[in-house]
Amino acid sequence: MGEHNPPVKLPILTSASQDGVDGVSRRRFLALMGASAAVATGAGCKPAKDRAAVVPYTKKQEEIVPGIADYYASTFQEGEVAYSVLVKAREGRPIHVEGNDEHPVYRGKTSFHATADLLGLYDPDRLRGPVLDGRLCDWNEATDHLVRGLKDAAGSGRGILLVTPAVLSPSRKALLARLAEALPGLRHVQWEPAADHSAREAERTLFGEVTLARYHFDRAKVIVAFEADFLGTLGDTVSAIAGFAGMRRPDSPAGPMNRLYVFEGGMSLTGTKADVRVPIRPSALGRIAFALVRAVHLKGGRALPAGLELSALDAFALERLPEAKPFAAQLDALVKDLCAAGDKAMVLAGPAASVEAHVACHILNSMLGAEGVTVLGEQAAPALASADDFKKLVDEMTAGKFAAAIFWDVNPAYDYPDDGAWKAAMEKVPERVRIGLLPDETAANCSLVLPVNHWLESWNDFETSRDVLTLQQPLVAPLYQTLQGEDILLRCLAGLGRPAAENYLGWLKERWRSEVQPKDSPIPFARFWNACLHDGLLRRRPDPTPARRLDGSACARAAGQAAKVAPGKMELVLDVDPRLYDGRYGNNGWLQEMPDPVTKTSWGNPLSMSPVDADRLHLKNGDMVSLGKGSALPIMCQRGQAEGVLRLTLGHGRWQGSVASQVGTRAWTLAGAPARRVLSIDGVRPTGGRQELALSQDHDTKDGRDIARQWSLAEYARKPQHELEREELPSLYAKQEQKGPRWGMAIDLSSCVGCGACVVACQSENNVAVVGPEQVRKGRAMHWIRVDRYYEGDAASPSVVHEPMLCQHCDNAPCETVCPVQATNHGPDGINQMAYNRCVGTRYCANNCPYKVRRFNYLDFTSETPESMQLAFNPEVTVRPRGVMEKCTFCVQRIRNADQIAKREKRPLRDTDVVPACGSACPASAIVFGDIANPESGVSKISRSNRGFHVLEELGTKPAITYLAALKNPAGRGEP
Amino acid sequence: MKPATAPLPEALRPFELIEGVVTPASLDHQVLQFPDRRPPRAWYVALAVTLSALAVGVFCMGYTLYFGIGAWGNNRPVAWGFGIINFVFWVGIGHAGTLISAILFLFRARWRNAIARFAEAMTIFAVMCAAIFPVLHTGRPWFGYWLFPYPNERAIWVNFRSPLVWDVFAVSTYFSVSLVFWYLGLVPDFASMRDRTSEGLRKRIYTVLSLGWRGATSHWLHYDKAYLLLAGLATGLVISVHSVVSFDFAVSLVPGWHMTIFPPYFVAGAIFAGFAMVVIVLTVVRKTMNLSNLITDNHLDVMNRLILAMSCIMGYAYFMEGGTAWYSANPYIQHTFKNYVSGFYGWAGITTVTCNIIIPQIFWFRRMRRSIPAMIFVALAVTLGMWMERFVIIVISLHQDYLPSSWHLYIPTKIDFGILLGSFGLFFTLVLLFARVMPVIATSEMKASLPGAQASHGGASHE
Repeated sequence: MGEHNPPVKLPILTSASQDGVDGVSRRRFLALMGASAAVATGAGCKPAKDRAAVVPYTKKQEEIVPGIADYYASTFQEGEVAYSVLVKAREGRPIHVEGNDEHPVYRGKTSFHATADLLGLYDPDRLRGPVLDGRLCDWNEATDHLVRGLKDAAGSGRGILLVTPAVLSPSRKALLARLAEALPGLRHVQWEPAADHSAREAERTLFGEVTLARYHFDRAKVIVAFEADFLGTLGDTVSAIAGFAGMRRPDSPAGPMNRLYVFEGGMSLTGTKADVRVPIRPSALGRIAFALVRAVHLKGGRALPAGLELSALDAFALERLPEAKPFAAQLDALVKDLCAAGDKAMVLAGPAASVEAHVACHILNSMLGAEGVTVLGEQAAPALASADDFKKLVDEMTAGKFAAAIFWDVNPAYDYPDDGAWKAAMEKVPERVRIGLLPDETAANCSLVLPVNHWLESWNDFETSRDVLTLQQPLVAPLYQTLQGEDILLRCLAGLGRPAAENYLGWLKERWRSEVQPKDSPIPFARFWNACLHDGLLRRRPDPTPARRLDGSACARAAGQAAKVAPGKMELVLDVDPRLYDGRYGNNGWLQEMPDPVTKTSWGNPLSMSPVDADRLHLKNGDMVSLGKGSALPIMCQRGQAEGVLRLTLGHGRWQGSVASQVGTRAWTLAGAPARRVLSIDGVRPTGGRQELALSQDHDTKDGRDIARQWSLAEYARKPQHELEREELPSLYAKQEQKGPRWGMAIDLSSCVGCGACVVACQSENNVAVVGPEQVRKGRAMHWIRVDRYYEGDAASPSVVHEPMLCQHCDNAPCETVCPVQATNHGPDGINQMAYNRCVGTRYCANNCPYKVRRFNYLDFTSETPESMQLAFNPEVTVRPRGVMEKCTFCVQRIRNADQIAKREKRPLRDTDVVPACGSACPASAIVFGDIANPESGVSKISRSNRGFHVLEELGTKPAITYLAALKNPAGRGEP
Repeated sequence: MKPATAPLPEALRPFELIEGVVTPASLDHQVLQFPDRRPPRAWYVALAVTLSALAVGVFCMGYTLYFGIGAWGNNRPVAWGFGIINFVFWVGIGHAGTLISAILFLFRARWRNAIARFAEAMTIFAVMCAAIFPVLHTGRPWFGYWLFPYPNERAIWVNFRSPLVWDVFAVSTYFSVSLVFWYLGLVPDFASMRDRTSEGLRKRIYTVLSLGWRGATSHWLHYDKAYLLLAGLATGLVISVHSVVSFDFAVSLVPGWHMTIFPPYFVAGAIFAGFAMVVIVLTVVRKTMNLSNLITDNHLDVMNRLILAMSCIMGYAYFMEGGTAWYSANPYIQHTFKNYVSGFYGWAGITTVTCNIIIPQIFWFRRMRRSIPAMIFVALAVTLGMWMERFVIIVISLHQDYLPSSWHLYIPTKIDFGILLGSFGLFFTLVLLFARVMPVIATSEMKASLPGAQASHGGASHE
């Protein structure tokens, strides 16, 4: 019996009940449909000419030392945010994406989408080369065809449509301008369906322009969020989490600590961290927000903006608003807090809030002086098409206004709400071109499909704020016959007789030389360029911009609009999925399997409903309902959800992509209109069917067990000293000998927001397998670290605590004594070691682990990995076969690496030399790692906090991880 | 001459071991005829059934080896399911045979002679069924030999602190001692078979198997000594083997497993289940092979009394578990105990208590102890109840332990059931084959119980 084990799928005896509803259960998720996948060895930066056999380095590449990793800075763009990242490369290919320490805002943290999108580079579904009318062709033919099409379109007098995502790159913008010069009929539309169109509309009416607002959560003491999931899905979540969490970990009960008020219908990640949470229908937010404006003016004496009269706010008396009545106490406390906080307040709203609510938020920020302090709008936002604009565009397409349409990295065939209208529109455009990474829904309807480089194979620059300009550089030569999108445009320009540059790198460097490098710079451009590439960014010192000023009459108009009352039907809130975003990551196994931070479901999107509504309809988790439009979908009872509010995430229900297909429900079609996020629903009708949710956590409450402590600040202040001190329990076991460092961790539950970035980072670093929805349902997910989410208090407004749980590396590890073959034992540095090649798989260790952090390879999850995906494996970590137990190793490979570097440099190992993947990825810096045998190390100091505790300490396992109790700061303490 | 004593009450009097007149010759003929004859059609039908069950089991085991333990219902947190349940169940079944062969031999309970051979054979077969599972249930069974301590070039020993290693020693010792003990007892009977058959392959096989036994006095002396020694060794095993198996659970920290009552509780349960299986098999055997005069109603009566006694001990053990959970004030154990009788798997706990404690209580009544339908019903209930008890202990304790975030149900798959069925198929196939080719009663021992075989002590026949 060898290691060539058959695939995950069990052909004969899998349950047939899942097939009809969830076709994914039949498929192999990492299995490949295509055969080719032979990949060039990607040697450094040389272009891969052909798919030759692998050749060892007889002439060593300068940059590559086999076995030593290289790190390159780059940038990852998602929507209107550009994250500066540091990418680890081994043997000339990227294997792990982390944040770039040089960036002044991100400081080494990045979005877990960037980490996960490593799989996008190696996705076996990627187009290998240009496809014309269904057959592979070469670039010359493709480019010729495209240029001819553009010329014909220009000649016909009809327009040429170019749809792209938000353009954050000044160089790309300049190139597009050049293209527009060459093609007068070109209409460039920037389309981001997941953008917050309410916010943009509000800014446009209030300020006259839309900016990329920067929120300084680290400066805010009182934060009010109206359907604004800034920790989970709203824009730049990384700096939001970092700033927010920084104010959540006071050293003592005296503070300082921020206070978060959340008003929302469903339960979002931000809602789980709320100190005061108000479950309320989104349609009521506009009126609540204006009521706050009025109250802050009357009670706090803050002046209303010029042009907005008190009389315009008469309809919004807090005492008289029916929606406000159940929450009178909270709202009063909020008003007090806001007035006391002044410019340390921050009021923000999200896409599900109405335009009026956004306007009211700006008014509040302005009145309190927070505008310009906690909320800044300095950088002009890209000119995205609004929802109305895009609808008009589709109408124009249907009217035959365009002779050619190019869709570059956008997928409107999937995310445009009206399928019929879109199909009709596409039919009226004769020449349809798709420039993109994967053959997706839009590509299926385009005659010419041009594959682009992944961002890890691309050059570019990005500007999202005026003080930092970031660069993107490729980590590997393009794996397939792809080009960068900008290079395609350059070829078009050349074909149109307006050559601009040989390639995009040339264009980029020329722009940097002529426009970016300061004119008085003393160093030659080559050095300047290399220095910027090394750092991944260029810092500048722009002049400060004045705070934005509101247009008073627009405020008054918004107030008038807000007074209208919505019909009292059920409201469906559509939220961007925290993992799949707008659907673009549907083919990403890591993100599909990552549990939703709140519902803990993976591989799908259930319809969340309040437990009251679920009871009324006699529904439980997994029961199918129909919304009257679209197919039936399963529900999930969500504690804390407002009655009458339903919630569904966008980004699922794709039908192209071997991993993405048939997973979840396509919520985009429910919207009815582009970018609409709140809908009135007549009701839900149970259909009687069932679909088991792929839950990674079945039980939601602690049942009185002291395993994840959460206190209010007041409780913390009142805790008697003996409860806060920890003494060592007596033990019959001899103490472990201690020489050298003993590795341990401190995890601050107060900082942790439950985002799950640690889960994805660990999966990337340690080659953790994706198992698919059927195995997740059976309870066999392989994540080495998980975030447990517990509700406390009553189901209508619960308090939530997130607890990352990973191997505790216990000193008295119960797993070590019971392994019959000694496959798991204790290292001298305190790590519980796992010897995969010795494990016979009796699973006694898993039974004896009280934390249940051990994962068993019940089936062969890895040997069928497609060849291109195998490149994503970290070569420093074994890929485990079937029948072997695995678990967190504290990234022992990083520890050993650091050890060897220290030896080479003839110095002792410093515990700051090592950061495990989870600690590095956590935007809240909740996970701190280091030497707990050294009382002066960072982790030791944090562990000594009187908030510290060990999980299940009474079992005598002596875990190496100290958790710090989560703190909440509900109103009633006086000063915020 | 001893003074005459008052006659003993009937219940305490030794019962008649044999019904009717039996001479050594008739005994030989009655027992040793079967290997010579064609078995009746019913035997073939039964064999076809058990072989089909075995075939299902073999297929499911092959499926498991090919695809992995994922073919079963195991998951996180329930990493042990039917595999270990079946293992403990079958090891337990074997204990009755050893108790009858060894312990009752040392106690000079002559009634054991009629049933010892079959019971001991059932022990061997039960341990064979059990031995499949520790290897089959591992993730990489082709490395199963690593569980044995053998010197190797990597200088790695097994982890002697692990109960699974103790299992290896206990079960392998159990099997080897039982096999040798059983074989030793068979030698005189093989010799009888050899002497009864005429030329041919069968005679040659019996000749080899009988090791040159001629019934000489020196042979009998050696035989008696060896038998006594092995009985002594095997006696210890009755207590130790299942205690060691119980350590798999008791040594861990899983709530519901970590209890000091487990070793005696498991040993009692093993004897309990084993006797139930012996009763089921022997009631069928004595009917189909016309051995009712040798395996009398009295034998069955005594065995049923043992079953009753064990049932009461099990009742005490269950009560103590609940009592421990209550006074320990340990929320984890209390939660687990509540799950034993309520919740998703509560039906399993109720079934266990009903089958193991309540139903066997009918054996307080003599009529029930001597009624074949009643004892088959009780024995089947006990078999089911004891299997269900292992299910309760393993699955219910594991599925909801310390951290509620990892709570998850265990749903066995068709492969799980197929392997369980296959194990029964293997056991009963071996039983049928044994009955076909070997003497099912130890004729040499039985002859010692015939009237006139023992030196009489002037009328009083205690022994």
